[in-house]
Amino acid sequence: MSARNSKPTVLLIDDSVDVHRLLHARLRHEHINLTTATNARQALEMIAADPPATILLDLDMPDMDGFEVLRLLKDNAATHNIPVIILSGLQSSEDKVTAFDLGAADYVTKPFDMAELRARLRACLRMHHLVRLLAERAEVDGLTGLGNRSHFNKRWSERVAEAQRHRKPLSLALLDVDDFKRINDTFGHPAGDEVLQGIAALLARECRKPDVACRYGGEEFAIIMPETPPSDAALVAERIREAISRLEWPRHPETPVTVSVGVAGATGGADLPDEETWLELADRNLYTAKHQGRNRTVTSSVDATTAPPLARAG
Amino acid sequence: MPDNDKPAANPGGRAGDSRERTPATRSIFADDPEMVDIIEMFVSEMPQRIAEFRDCWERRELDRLARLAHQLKGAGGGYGYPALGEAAGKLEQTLKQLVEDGAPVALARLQSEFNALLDLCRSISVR
Repeated sequence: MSARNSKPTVLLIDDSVDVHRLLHARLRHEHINLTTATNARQALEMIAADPPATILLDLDMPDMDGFEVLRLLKDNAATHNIPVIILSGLQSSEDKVTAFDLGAADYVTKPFDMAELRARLRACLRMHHLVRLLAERAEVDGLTGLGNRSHFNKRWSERVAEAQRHRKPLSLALLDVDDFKRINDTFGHPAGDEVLQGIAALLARECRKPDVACRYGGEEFAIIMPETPPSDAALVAERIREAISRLEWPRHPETPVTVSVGVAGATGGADLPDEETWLELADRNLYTAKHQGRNRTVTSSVDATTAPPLARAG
Repeated sequence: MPDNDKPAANPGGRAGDSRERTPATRSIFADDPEMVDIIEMFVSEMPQRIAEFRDCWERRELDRLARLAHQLKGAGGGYGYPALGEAAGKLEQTLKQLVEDGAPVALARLQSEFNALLDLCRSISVR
């Protein structure tokens, strides 16, 4: 969203420049970044480029009226969560009912009582913030702060579709902490939690920019590596595996922690398997790495699933 | 019109008889530091707005006139001239009846509302 500064963006859509000036003056001390549009078309372009946190929408505009704009915003998945406050000189309850039925968050009549408009605006911004937070929370793993399984599933499915469409390289690494049960049993659950948090922090640090690291399950992590063929993915996975083995653990300095990694990737070009098959292949490589003695990476290409996996041990 | 601010300094400024010379109409927000700049701008641009109103009237462009009146209705109260907003709203309503509903509207009434609005427009001052 609007990352230019920490202030939420509020977009005013009103054909009267007088109203723009008025609200600029009246909302000067609010913690917002007020932007303005004088017609619906301009507004829709601005919303697409930088979705605002709240929209103040005039009903009576010459080219496209506010109801139509509201309908478009609520029909679009990218914008339907943005709260819209209707500003209107029309005072019939029929218009208010129509506005609320179309999904307006609030309705303020002109001339504005500014104290009221400010309070209603703040309430909308608060609501928008909470809705976003909730959406984010739903996909964030509480212990590690990485994306959770549901986040992974969405991103993975998007990436596979993209790689299939454009025949681009793509790789997936699954990491599993070796002997995690023993760490928990020997040093206690807080030590186990610290291990998961420490590895998550390292993944966040060590992954390249387009990579997506998630907590896949209990002591299992996943790294999606877009535009990365399996040979490069194996190098990234190895770098991470080694870095994890060198981490120091205050609760058990004498016991290092290692991970086993299964990588499955596509070089691009060939027909690619579906996301499930791909995931199973990475999981099978992880199992092979465990079976071969842990603390190693096993990589294979999904382009030629019959080729024997390539193992690297630490 | 709901307006919580008392129109303290609008003595006899009702848009009734357009033939009376309306006394200066002061903005009820004139003492509000966050408003004074934009009120000054609003007042300084008023002659241009009046010219636009007159132009529409002379060309009988009733749609455009209704839109100008609509914008002034929204702005008037916001800038601290509730009577101006009301007069603009009245004219807009009458024009809408004429344009959209085809209702027979006495030209005299339209003329009187138009004059009343322009008188008010000419009368506004910051303080």
